[in-house]
Amino acid sequence: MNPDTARIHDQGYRPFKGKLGSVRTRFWPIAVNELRLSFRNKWFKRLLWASFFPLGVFSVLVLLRHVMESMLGPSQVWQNFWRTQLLFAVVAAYFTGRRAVGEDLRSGALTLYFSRAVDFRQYLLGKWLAVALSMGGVLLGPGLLLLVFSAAMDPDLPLSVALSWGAILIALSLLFALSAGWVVLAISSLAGRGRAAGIVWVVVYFASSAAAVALSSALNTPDLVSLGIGDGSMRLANELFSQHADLATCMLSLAGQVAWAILGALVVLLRLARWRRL
Amino acid sequence: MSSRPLIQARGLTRWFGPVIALNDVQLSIQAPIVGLLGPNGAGKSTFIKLLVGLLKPSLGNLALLGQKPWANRDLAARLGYCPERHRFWEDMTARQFVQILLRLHGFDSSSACSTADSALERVHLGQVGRRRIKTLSHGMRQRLKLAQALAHQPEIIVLDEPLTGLDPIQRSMVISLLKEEAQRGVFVIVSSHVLHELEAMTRHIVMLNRGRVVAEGELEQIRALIDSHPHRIALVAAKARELGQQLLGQQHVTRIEVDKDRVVVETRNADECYDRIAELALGGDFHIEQMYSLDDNLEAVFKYLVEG
Repeated sequence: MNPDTARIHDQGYRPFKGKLGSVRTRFWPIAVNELRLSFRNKWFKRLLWASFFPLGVFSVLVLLRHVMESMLGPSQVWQNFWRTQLLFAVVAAYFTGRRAVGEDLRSGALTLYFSRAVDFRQYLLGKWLAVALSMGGVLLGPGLLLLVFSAAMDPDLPLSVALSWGAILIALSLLFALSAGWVVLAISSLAGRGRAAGIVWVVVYFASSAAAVALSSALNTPDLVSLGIGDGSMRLANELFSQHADLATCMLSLAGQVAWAILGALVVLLRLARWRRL
Repeated sequence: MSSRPLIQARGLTRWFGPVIALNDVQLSIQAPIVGLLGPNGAGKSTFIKLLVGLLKPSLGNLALLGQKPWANRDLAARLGYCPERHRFWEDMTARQFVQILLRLHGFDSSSACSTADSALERVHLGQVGRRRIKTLSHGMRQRLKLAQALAHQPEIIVLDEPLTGLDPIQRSMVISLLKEEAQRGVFVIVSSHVLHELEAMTRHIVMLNRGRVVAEGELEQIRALIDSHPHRIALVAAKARELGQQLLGQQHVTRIEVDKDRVVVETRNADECYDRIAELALGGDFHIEQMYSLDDNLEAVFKYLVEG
């Protein structure tokens, strides 16, 4: 066939004429899809319910504190509450993050995403958002309820204090979702199987704390404990919920959390770039 | 009417480490349905991934309807891609699978639902829309992939081995569906290593072997280009032996096989041979009942080109 003389005749093809959403929001269906797949797991649903149980315990503590003024300070309630909820967040990340990228790599589903008008940014944002929403659900949901309960039990609680606690909760949740979310996605992208990725994630979470403790002992610098994924968040919570936050400790914890997030994101990006080159 | 080639490749090369998957491909194709034919490892899937923008060329240029596919969102929105693999999101229902992929094209939730249903109906999967993918048979999964490729009304459909694992009825249905799309003005690019599958869909083929294009164009034109191989014509006649003797005297005839009432003639000049047979048929001495070419099918052409 001579390409100079050949012609393709229009035979009536008409594209879809309905309204299409912006390409900038394509991360949202990716996140929804990931969450939908996670909700297929009954243990994930049970975890979400279970994450509200500590709310009952801490509500009693709030009540007791109100009755017995000197028993437990409000900052200690919040610090312990955060410490407890972090464990639920780790398990939530296990369920939503372990298969997020790795399964797509293994099954070839990445071709379905990237043959459409979806780029790496949209894809990764969607995957991270799914993990972040699941972690946010177990951190923020019970946290905000506890805040409302605390405010209801203590009519003398200034509004500014209640709002600041709410803001701290949101900031801590977002920060932990950033660091833990990207780390679990990185592990997912490297691991051969979803379950293995989940186990490695839990190991990395606790090992990072152990390594940070060992490092701080070796260098005789107690603040380096903040470099662990969980410890960093807990120390930041301790500082922010206390009356007198130490700025240096806060900054070090913040830096640790951001560093974990950047490291995780870089690993996922490199893994995807390698897939695309292959 | 468009004068842009559907596929245009100039020195297109793609390698994976030390392995060259596609080597210096030169193509300019304009056809409603293009078949990519080649044995396993020929470079078909690599070529398809380059066409849908999943891979970047290592060297050279590739254009689909005048646009480079790599990182081209506009073109991606006009494409429907059916990959070869089919084990994704097995816990999802068939309907959810098509819906989520429509959402990725920008469809809102409600239109994705209705469009997914009609796409499933088109591939005869309307009854299994609520079943999980892991419960579907191989053939159903193939059709499900086809549904997601067609659902958003793409301008170009690219299918990697879409007929693998389908039974004859399903295969016929898919072939009809693709032909229907082509008649509506949709471009269809389809790969296969099974010769008769492509032959049933299109006469315009690109033959690949070991990363190189060994032939491209209409099947008959390719056959005409193969001068170095004799053309084989079969004749059914009451006086087959006499007919064979008559033809053997022709200079262009290289071989004659006679079996009962069937004569197979090998000739280096098909046109001259056909003229001579026509003369003999008109003479009425040999009672020629049937005449057909044994070389116009894809298998024969491919065998000549690849095996020499």
